[in-house]
Amino acid sequence: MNPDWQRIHPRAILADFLSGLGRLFSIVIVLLLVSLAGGRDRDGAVTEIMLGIFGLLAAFGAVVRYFTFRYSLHQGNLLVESNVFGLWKDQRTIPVDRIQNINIKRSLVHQVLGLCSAEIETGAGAKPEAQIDGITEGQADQLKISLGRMMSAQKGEPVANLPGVQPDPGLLSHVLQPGKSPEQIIYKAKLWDLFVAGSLGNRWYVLVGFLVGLPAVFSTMLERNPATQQIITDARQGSFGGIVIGAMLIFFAGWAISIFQTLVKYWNFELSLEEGKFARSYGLTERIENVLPVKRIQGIQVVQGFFEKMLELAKVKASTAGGLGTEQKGEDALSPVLPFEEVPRILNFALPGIWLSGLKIIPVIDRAFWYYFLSGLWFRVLLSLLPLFWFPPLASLGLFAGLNLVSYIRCRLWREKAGYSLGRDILVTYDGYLGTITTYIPTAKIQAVSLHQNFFLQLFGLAAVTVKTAASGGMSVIKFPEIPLEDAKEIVYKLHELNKNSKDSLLDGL
Amino acid sequence: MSWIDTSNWTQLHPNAKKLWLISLLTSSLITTTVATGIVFALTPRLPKLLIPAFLIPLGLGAIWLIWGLLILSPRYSRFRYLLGEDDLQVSRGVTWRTWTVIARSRIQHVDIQAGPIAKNLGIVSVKIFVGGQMAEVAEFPGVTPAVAEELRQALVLRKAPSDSAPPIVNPNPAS
Repeated sequence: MNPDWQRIHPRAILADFLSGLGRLFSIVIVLLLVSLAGGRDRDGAVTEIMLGIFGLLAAFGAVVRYFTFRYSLHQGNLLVESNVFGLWKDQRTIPVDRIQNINIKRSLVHQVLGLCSAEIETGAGAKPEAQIDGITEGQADQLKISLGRMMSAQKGEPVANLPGVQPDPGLLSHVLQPGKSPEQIIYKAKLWDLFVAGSLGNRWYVLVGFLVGLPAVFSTMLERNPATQQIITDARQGSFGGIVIGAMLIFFAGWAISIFQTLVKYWNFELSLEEGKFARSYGLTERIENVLPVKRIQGIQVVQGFFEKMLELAKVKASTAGGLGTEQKGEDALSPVLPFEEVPRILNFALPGIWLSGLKIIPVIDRAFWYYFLSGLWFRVLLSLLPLFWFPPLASLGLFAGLNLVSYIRCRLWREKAGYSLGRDILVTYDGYLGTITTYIPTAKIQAVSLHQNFFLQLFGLAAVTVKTAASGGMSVIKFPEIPLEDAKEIVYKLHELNKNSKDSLLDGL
Repeated sequence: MSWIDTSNWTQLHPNAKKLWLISLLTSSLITTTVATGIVFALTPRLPKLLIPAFLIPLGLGAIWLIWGLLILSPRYSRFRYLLGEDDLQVSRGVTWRTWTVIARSRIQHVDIQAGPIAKNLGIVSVKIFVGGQMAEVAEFPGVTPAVAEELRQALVLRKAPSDSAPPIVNPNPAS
């Protein structure tokens, strides 16, 4: 029996064309800037020709994709095929029982045209294994319903006969309950929360981009403008006032962009729990809805930067095998920011059946503090020797004293915050200097345990324990603070004992 | 405060030591020659030092080679593994000692690899992978193909070998 192939919607041609133009936007901006800045293309002919070529390329790509892309559910597999004129054929077969997650995304263009994009994930890698871009909401719902039925049938679960009436609750609960009752919603971000998240987010690259990029691009234009001419002249002549004002403007521009980015990305963020799955929906220009089965969570991290700590806020990240595909670097934020008092409630949902209260925190011992401080000494010595090439020896001595003071303070702060707790079902590590990072790893999810001792650790009688998990990103390898060798051996035995009979599977988390 | 007792564990094939020696000689000689050449060419542009600049990479290369030769035997004798009923343990290293414990139920796949020199020496390398980790979690860099196949069978097909050791037990459970 041949597969019953489905095509994307014809409106997808327009959506593809517009998003293709969007992708070329940066090139268009550069061309316009060159034109405005009075480059060689004074009459704009080259710019127009280039814009025309880009437009044609985008249109051609959109039409070709519409006629060559198709998908089908066939014999327990999801088939996704693109076949360009029989020359480049790419058919991907995904066994339905391997599918872990289906994300529905709607970009701004999709929202206007009534389309969406379905991302299919199996947990094999950090990216979705298939993307069906340009289908209607009805097609997406039907795809989810059919996939849910096939999964239920393969698991031997009862399946409803009428399409869409009593579908499989597992995969479909999110689609079929558009209006969630308030008790299902765990957290809904307020505008203020997002504003704070954007303000505190680490967006140094934006500032650096502004510092490096903008003056280079705009200096000629600004010089021509009488209003900004003086600032540029002052900056070039090294006038302190001009430079300070410029730097402040750049800083605030970077800060404003950072806030704007966060507001657009996490607009109307909502985290809810349904049928043992976290459901997240967020985004202004691109609306993202995805479902994260709680059993797939390999680890949870609660992150508090210095300012977040002062404001009693936190960010909660959940990591799964392979990642959710919607965030970068495997950092699947359960919440961009939330009041710290909400964290225990989220942890209760994310780590069901795990008793977190009453865990004894084992702090960093004195020996570990001195090891931590002295192990970086060689680097500080080398760094302090560098000024000898240009300055008198006193400068080196001053630098050495300064570096050691900073390092000492840093190690003291670390000592105050770092430690670990080990319960029957959970391993918790604490880390940080000015802020704190608390990592929760269920012992049933641990993949391997190692004990390390370098030469200096041997001198101090200490050892380092690392735990490897199937999580992506920063929770892939969890490091304990350095502890006495005998304690470290004890922990390895204990973790292995707790973990060796675990039936936890990467695919279904059971 | 002693390291774990590995006296009854299995060692690698003796040819692993030969493979490490060849690898040490080639890598240290090639790297030192290239680094010395680059520094020699850049000498006129470098700040004046007490000794000719090219002697620095040459000296570092010599230290690397001598150190490698010194720890070759201890490195071999300290690389040991134990295939238990429900776990695999590997202990290795001289200055940087590592003991890894992997539950056998966690092993996702096993790779067996052999380069031209290893093939000539009649040994292969076995790499053990667990879920979610891109790199191997443990490696046996020098066992015979027969032992490699036995390990693969035991670890991937979950067949407990007849002579497998009992599960690891904490020698000091009261602590």
